[in-house]
Amino acid sequence: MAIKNYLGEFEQMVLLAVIRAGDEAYGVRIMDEIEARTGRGVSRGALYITLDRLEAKGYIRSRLGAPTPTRGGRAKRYIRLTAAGKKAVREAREALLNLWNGIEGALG
Amino acid sequence: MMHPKERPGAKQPGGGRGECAPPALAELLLTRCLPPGLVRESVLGDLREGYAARRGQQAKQTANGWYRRQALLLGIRYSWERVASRPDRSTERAANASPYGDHAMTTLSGDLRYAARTLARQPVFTLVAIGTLALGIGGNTAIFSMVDAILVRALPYPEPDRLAVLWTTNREIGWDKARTNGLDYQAWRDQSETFQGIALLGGGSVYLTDPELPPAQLPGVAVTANYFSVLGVPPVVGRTFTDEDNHADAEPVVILSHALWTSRFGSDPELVGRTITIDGAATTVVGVMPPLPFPISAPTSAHLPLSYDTRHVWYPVLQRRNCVQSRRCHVYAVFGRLNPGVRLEQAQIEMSGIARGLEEEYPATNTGDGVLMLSMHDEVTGGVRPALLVLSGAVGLVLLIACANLANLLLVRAANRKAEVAIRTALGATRGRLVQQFLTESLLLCGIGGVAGLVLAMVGVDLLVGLYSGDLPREQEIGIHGSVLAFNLFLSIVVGVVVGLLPAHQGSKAKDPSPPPGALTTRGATQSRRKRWVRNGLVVGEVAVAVVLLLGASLMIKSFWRLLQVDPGFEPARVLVARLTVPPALYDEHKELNSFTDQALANIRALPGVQYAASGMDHPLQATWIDAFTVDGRPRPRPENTPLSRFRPVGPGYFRAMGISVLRGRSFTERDVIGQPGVVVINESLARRYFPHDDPIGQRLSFGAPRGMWQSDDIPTSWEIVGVVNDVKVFGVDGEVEPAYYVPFAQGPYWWMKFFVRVSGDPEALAAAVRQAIVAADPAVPAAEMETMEGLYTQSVGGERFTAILLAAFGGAALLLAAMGIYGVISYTAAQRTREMGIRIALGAVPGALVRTIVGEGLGVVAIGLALGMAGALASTRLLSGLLFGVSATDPVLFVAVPAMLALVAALACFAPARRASKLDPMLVLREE
Repeated sequence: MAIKNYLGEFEQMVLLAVIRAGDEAYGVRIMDEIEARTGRGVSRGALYITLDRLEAKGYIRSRLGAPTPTRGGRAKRYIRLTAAGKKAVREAREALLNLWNGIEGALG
Repeated sequence: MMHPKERPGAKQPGGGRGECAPPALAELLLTRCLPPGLVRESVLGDLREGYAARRGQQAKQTANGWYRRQALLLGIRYSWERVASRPDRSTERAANASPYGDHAMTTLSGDLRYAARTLARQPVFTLVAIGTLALGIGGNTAIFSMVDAILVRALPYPEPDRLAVLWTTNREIGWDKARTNGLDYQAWRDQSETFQGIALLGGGSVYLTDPELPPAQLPGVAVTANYFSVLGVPPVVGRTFTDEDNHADAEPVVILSHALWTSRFGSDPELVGRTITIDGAATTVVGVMPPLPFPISAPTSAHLPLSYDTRHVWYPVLQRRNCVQSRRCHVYAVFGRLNPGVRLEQAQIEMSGIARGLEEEYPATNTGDGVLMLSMHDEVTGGVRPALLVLSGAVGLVLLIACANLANLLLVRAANRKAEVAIRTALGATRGRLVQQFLTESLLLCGIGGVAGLVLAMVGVDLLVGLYSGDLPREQEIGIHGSVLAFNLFLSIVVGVVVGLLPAHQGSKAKDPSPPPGALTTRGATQSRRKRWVRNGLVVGEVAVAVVLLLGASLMIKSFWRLLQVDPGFEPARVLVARLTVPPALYDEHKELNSFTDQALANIRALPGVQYAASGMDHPLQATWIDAFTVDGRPRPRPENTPLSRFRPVGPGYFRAMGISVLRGRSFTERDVIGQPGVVVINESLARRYFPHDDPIGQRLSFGAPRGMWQSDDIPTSWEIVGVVNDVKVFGVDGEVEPAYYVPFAQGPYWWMKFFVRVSGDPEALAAAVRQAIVAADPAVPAAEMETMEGLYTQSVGGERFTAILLAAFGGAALLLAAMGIYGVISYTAAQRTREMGIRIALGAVPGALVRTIVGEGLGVVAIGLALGMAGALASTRLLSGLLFGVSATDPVLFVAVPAMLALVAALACFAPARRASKLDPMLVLREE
């Protein structure tokens, strides 16, 4: 697998959470999704930087939504996967499945 | 007036939205760190959303703390990202930069980027440096914000320098600062010419009963008509008092504080001119004052605090029953405004002259009386000034140590960059250009450290104020204001230049335009003797300063410990204090007042878990009234020798509830009431001073205070001594003991009262029940304020505790920083001598001997620092002596123990690098060449 297509574990989590959140995929929602599904706390800084990085790689695209009063009049950054992003997630899944294949017995 | 705390009553424009806004400064700083556009917009919005959700569930402080943490983490993360993701070409550009061809700003931004990249490449060094700076600058910023608000800023009145406070002194009976009586005040006011005006104020309490609002008991301030004009504060609505208002038979009038006006009357401007019910009487509201601090007054302590935003009222002093027309009733505070151009000393001379005249005119009451004048600013803040100055000095020393550490770290870095400097010099960089580059680096470090310090200070200020458990003057004005920000910036720049200059000077030295022979290899790194002395000199200074700080801190801690060891003369643990004022309008007969007290006590005693309950006017740590008395059957003393004593009305069971022992005779019983013979219990000091040779029990004292309060013939004037109790420290636990006598509360009751309840379990748990038991005695009496005696006791040592804890923290920081500094220098020196060590080991040196050599050299440097530090401490801990209690400023034990501890820490710091050096494999070392 080429290095530039390699997805880190956290990057994968973020991408999957974005898919799960669907139309509602923005910072807080993505964080909640990861925390709820994995039981792990997520640092905001890590999440935002990862989003920026994924966007730079062309895996996601973001747009600004309408500002809401609970956010002090600030807009939400809605995220969705690009075709390249979907491809990268799929490849990552396949790579992992290939690695998993046939070793269930070895783990006991 | 920038701190939001100061005006909780003020309406926020935009209604509830302001309520939910996160800490503004944190948001602003984060905004600066975030890249503009989509990221900034969405990240700030997400944080707002999280903050709003937290505000729904948590206290404001907790949510604010969460927000500040998030803002800090995100700010660091994004700033770091920006530095680290910058393309690497800046290195080349900066290295090739010529001082001639470049535009100054391009050079600067190139330097900055280069500095950021070099710092980012050594994260451990950078984090240690920034952490050290953040602590040093943050600590100084936090302490400065207190100093600025309390000591530096002028009081919020026009020409505040002209305001002075006047107290009575008496050389005969040792009053160095006491309250004044109403008639002396009149004489001062009428006779003085240096004052534009002199005003009087006294404490009190009022009871608001309006049919449509819940009843409320509030502080009332009794004032002369000129109180507001002397301060120079006009009302926001209506008028202030006139001399016509200040008469016993004038129509009742009142002025409201801003907080009371907004909270109770909804800021209704139509209220002025209408009447409200105060103590049962229809009283006209004539004005409302602005939301400023005002001097208000508790009747007993000789201190004039400013009160911020309390809900209270002012009324003309002559409109109410009090003792302003007596020369014996020292319960009033007095302040005045000097004429323009008059100095305090001139007025003091005039007032002392007036006091001498009064002595001659009224020998029976005024013999020995003088006047003490203080500027109002000193009066308000004088109590904390010494502690704040010591703390500023201490935190400044911590910064000094931090600077020495950082300078050392930068020196080492400069030495390791010889190769780089050589290349740049060869490529044509001038010395000035190199110095500029080095300084940019240290300034960048200090800039980041300063911002981190500012964030620490923002969190720290609230902690500091919370740590001060007593009454901190001008507490509401403390905050991160413009002057604090300026101080923080100034400090960051100064530190940046100071720590950067030495390394820049040393590092940029390139005598020869061609690189020195060893510059590009690891060889030739043996340091010159001079450079070693620069570094060692920094360590010496650091250790010396640390000794001074640690000694100061340990003295304060020992003093505080001594203070806690003092036997206050009573047992504060497990005692509840219920404080209330019974409305005089409801109980204007003393017998009715007594039956209320009895009923409330009976209710309290019926509660499970209550051991003893008693009534009384004041708790033991309060300084009560001073009254004159005579011993019956003795020749009348000359007026100047009239005995004086503290006067404390207490009910039966008080001594048991408070844990005060009755040494002789008896305490009060239920039979000591009005109609029965007057009885009095005296303390040991009174017995010692006035009955040194004979038995006080059975003798009689005459005094008039209780009768003066009630003007009733069935209250006794002569009182039989029935018991002697042990002394109680009245003025807080570090104060002197004065003679005191106790009279039965039932024989001299008063509307201000307290119930003291000793319980078997946790006093807090019973507070609500006790409060309810008092309400049950008469629901029309406003509910009592509950405190624990232990809490009051802690407050009385709050200032000392504050100074001791902070100095301990600063001392700890100094110790840590000094140890880091010693470790850094020794390990660097040891690393520099790797070759020498390798050769020595190869020639058969024993590792143990090598360790001894290195540790010995390190300790030699430390020893010089210790000696200098002890000399410095001997000279400077004297400054602490005013703050110390029960310990000498040159306490010999501490002067041995503290340097010894520091030496031990230093030895440990030397030992690790020494051991590492002695374990070298000689072959590896020599092969590296």
